[in-house]
Amino acid sequence: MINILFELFIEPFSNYSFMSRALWGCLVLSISAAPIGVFLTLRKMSLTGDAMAHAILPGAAVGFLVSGLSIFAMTIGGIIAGCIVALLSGFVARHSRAEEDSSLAAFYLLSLAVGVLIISSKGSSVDLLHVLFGSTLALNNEALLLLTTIASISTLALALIYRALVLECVDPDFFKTVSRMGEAVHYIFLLLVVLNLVAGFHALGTLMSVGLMILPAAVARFWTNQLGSMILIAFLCASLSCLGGLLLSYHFALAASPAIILVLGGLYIISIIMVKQRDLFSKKHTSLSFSGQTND
Amino acid sequence: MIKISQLTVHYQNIPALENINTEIHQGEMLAVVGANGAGKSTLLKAVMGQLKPAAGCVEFQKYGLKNIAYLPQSQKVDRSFPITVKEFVSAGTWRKTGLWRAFTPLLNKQLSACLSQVGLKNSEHKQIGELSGGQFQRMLFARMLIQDAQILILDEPFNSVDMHTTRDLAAVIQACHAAGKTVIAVIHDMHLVKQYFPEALLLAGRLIAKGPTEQVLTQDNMCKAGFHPAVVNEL
Repeated sequence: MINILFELFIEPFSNYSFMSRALWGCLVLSISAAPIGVFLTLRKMSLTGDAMAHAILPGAAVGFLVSGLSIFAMTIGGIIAGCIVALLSGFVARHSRAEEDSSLAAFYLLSLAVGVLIISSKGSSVDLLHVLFGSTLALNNEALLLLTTIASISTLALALIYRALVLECVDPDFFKTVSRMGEAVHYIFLLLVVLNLVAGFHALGTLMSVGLMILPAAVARFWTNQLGSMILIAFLCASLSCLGGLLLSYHFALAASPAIILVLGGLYIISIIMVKQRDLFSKKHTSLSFSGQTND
Repeated sequence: MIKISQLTVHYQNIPALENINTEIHQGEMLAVVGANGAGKSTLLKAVMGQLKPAAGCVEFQKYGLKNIAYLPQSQKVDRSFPITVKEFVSAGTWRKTGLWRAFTPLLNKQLSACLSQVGLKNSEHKQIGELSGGQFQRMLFARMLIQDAQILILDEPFNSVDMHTTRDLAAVIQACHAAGKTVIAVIHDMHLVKQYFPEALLLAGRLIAKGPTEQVLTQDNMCKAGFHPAVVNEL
C-alpha cells in the first residue's frame, strides 16, 4: 500500500527533476498569486485580471522578437505592456466618457491582437503555444529564480500596503478623507497583478495564469467570510491544485497547466455543491429547532 | 471657522456650485439642504478638498483638513467585504496608526467606548454584511467618533434608518455639538432639520440662504431652491 502511495504521489517528484521544478514554481506562484486573487475578487475585478493577462502578450512577444525565448526579456516586455494597458485604461476612464471596464476591454483587445500578430508573423505556432499555454514542465533555474523573486517582491509589497488596500476596497470615499494614498495603492495593486501574471505566464501561459489567481479566491469565498482565512484557504487550494494537476499530468500524460486549472475548477464545483448542501442542512436544522420551540 | 469665498465647482465639466460665499463658525451645527442635484454633496467634497474648485477657495482657521471626520453615504460602502465591525471602526484611527503602526490598548479602549456610545457594544465581532441598515449606520457613526476630529461632515446620516435609530444618532450628533465640535450634515428630511439643527444652509447650485433654520426654511426660500410645492406647503 505504501509502495503504491509512494509511486502515485512521491516518485514523480523524487525521480524527475522537471516535476519537482514544476512543483516548486507553481507553489511559489500560489503564495503570491492567491492573495492577489482574493483582493481582485473582493474588488469585483476578476475580469480585470483576465483582461490584464491578455494585455501582457505583446510585451512578451516583443521580448521574444528581440531575444528569442529569453525569460528576462519576455518578463520585462510583459511588465511594461501590462503597466501601459493598466495606466492607459485608467487614464482614459478618468478623462473621457468611457467606463473603466470598457476602456480596459478596448486596450487589452488591442494589446492581444498586436501580440498575436507579432508572434504569428515572426515566430512559429510552437512559440505561440508556449506563450499562450506556458511550459510548466520545462521550468529551468533561470525561470525558477525569476518566479521566486517576483513572488517574494509581490508578497512583501502586499503585506506593506495591506491595511491601506483593505480600506481602499471597503470605503474608498472615506479613505480619501484620511489619506492621499488611495490612488497610489490602487496602482501598486494593479502593478502586483501584472507582476504575478507575468510570473504566471512562464509556468501556466498567459491564458491560464489568471486561473491560479481567481479560482482559489472564488473557492475560498464559499468557505469563509473572514479575510485572513480567505487568503489562507485560497493559498492552500492553489497549492493543492498545483500538486494534483501535476500528478494528473504525469500519470495521464496531460498538458500540465490546463490540468492544474481543471483541478481548481473541480474544487470550485465541489465547493458550490457542498456549500449549497450545508446551507440547506442549516436551514432545515433552524426550522426544526423553531418548530420544537413552538411545540414546547 | 471655515471661510468659503466665491467657490465655484464643476462636476464632470458641468457647474455644480456657483459663487458660494459663506462662513461656518466653530461649534456650529449646520444642516445643508437643497433639492436633488442642488450641489449639497459637492459642497461637502469641496470643503474636504476632494474636489478642486474651478474658482474661489475654502480656507480653514484653527482646525484644518486633518481635523475633519467624514461620514459617507452608507450605500457607497462595500458591505459584502469580509471585515468585522471592530476592524471597520478601527479604520477611523488611520491618522494615528497609518500603514504599519500598532493598534494600542488605549485605541482599543476608545474603540469600545465609541461602539458603546452608538449602541453596538456586543456587535464588534460581527461581519459588516450581517448588520441591519440601522446597525450599519451606527457603525459609521462609531468610526466617525473614534477620529476625535473637531469638524464632523455627514452625508445623509439619517437615510434609510428607522425613527428609533435616528433619535439615537441625532443624540450622538448633539453630544458632539455640545462638546464644541462643528457639525455639517446633508439632510433631506426638513422635519429633522427643524428638530435638530439650529442653523441651515440652503443650496440650489448657488447659495439661497444661510442662517438660523427657521429664517432659512421659509416658503419663499424653498420655492427659490426649486422644491416641490407639496414639500413647501408641508413646512
